[in-house]
Amino acid sequence: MSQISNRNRHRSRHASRDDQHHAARDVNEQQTTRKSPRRSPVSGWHEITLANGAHSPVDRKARLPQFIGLQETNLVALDELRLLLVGAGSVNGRVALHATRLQLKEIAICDSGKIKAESVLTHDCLPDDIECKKATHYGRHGKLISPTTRVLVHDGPVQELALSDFADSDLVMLATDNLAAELDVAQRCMWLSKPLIIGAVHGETLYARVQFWANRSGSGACPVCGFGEEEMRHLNGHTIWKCSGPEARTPGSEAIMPTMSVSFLCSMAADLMMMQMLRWVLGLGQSLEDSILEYCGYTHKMTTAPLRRRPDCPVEHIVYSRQTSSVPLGHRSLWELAIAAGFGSGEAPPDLSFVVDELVFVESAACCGQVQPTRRFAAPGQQVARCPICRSPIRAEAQSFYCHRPVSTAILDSLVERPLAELGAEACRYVVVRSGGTGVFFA
Amino acid sequence: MIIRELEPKKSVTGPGRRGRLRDLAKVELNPHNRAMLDFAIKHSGGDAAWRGRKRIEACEILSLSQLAPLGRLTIQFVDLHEALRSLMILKVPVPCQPDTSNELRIADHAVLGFTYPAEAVRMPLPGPAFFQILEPQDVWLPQVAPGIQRHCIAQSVPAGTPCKELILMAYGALSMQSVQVDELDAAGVFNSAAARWWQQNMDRIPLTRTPFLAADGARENLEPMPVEEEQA
Repeated sequence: MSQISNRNRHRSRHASRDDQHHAARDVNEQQTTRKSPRRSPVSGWHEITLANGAHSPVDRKARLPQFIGLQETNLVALDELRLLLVGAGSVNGRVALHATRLQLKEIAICDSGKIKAESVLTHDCLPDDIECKKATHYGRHGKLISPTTRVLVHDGPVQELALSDFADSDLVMLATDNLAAELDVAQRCMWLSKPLIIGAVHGETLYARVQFWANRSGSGACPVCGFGEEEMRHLNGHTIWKCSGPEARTPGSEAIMPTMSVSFLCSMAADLMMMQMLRWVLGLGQSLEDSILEYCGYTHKMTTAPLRRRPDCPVEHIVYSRQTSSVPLGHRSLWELAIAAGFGSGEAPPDLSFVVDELVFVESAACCGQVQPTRRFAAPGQQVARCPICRSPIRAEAQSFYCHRPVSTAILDSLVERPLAELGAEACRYVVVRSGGTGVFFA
Repeated sequence: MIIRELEPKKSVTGPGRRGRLRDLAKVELNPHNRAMLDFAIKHSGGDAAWRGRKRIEACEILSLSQLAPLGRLTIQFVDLHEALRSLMILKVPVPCQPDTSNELRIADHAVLGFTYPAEAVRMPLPGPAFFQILEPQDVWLPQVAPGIQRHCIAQSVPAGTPCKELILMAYGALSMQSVQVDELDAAGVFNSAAARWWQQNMDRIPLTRTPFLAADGARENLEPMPVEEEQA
């Protein structure tokens, strides 16, 4: 009897999930995605929207407990929170769904991967979802859960995101599969003083781990401070741990190793990440800033320890201050911004330099021995000149000798006083002014 | 208090003396290079760690130019504002596109634009990220892209590789002491016509056996170097 009832329960649970899934698909067909106006169009963000009246939101208070020590007004922090999720796999996919259940203001999800057949073993997905883009998959489900939350998705690598995409977020949560992405996010969160939570699992030892860096100042720790020889070896070897395993490997590319774990260890890591986020946002309990939290399934023990800065960490430990420009940045000159940043009173500091959006400053274009002065900003890959000899288009290259990012005043010379619009950066979204180991981020 | 008079440093860059990389730290910069370095350091940007790293790297590049045989490496300028940038002349046989009679032309030096960005310290970068050959034109190597002439020195360069090693890699690649002519290799080639040409002319590889730190035409180039006793 007990067995039958259990089986019935099992079947009804499956039926319920299937119904949910089909409902999601039905609504998905009514959904449209549109380019997000706020986030970078080059980054490829799309906003998930629902057809009008598809779902009515449920009041969060219907299930949210009265947390001990929490003042009601503090809940506004959840309404205002903008979350950037890097990676949407077995850990962060669940984080996305949990976060939408808290009905946050905005959730932006970034992942370049697709759901594979093996993903059903660890992800929150069903066989029908195979071949779906992960970011879009979790974005759609999240939007169904919380129609009031703005949900943005980017089905590409995090390296494609602009610095301003990070600036538009209040908290970054990362659970990704490669160290290069981790390093990239660590650097940008440090510059912009964005709190960063990283979740990870180690299947063989049943470890779930959550690390939290507040990035309040450049003197704090960052994820790369914890990199040892082994991490650097994997970084140099371009190792990527993929949930989908090595079949996605292209010849000559990275060494791809499958992530081996059980789904509930992944969800444990996701739950701990959410707990960390909730405590930080609502100010619950003791501060866990710059700390590591580990759960071991073999011992059922949980430990926390502080994270320390490594003096020779290769990440640039500089935190930019922020200023908002009252006029579009394209109308301003870099020298005006330097003065506004406090670097331009009197003589310019010798190390004054600028980062203009995701653009490079192309000092000259060299091809077939001919060096033509170009002296303007351009996006990498954008044509800046044509070779007078071979007639080939010359494109801005981020790693060419005559392209600069950041660009110093010594290179800009008198152009530093010209409006950015005249230098090919009329639509720029942000500028960073740097000098003396400090910087100011203008948006 | 005992004050010991410091012994004057023995020169490791004198005429007729073959330098060794391990002597790099002993090189005293000549006044010209010292002034160039001091000027660059004064205008160096970035956080303290990056500025410190750039200072050491720039010093090593200049020291390397003194340690090497005369004319092997000439540093035109060093810029430390953001990325470490240097314009350098490397005395090395450089293959240029064969003429109409399919005869290979060889230039005796290359002008290189060298860029060492801050990212190179913390992450592996692709091989073409560092050097652009500004002269001569029409470099005929599989690893050099025609036109803009970005020079690929490896499939991927590990994080934190010192500049001096990159320069040695560039020397080896230009002189074809290290070469990759397989156009089907996963590492790829930038000039497949050059790759095919060199496949048919393998007997001409390398263009010189002279190591970077040896004088051109020196007898020792063809012999293994004797092991020197460590100086006390």
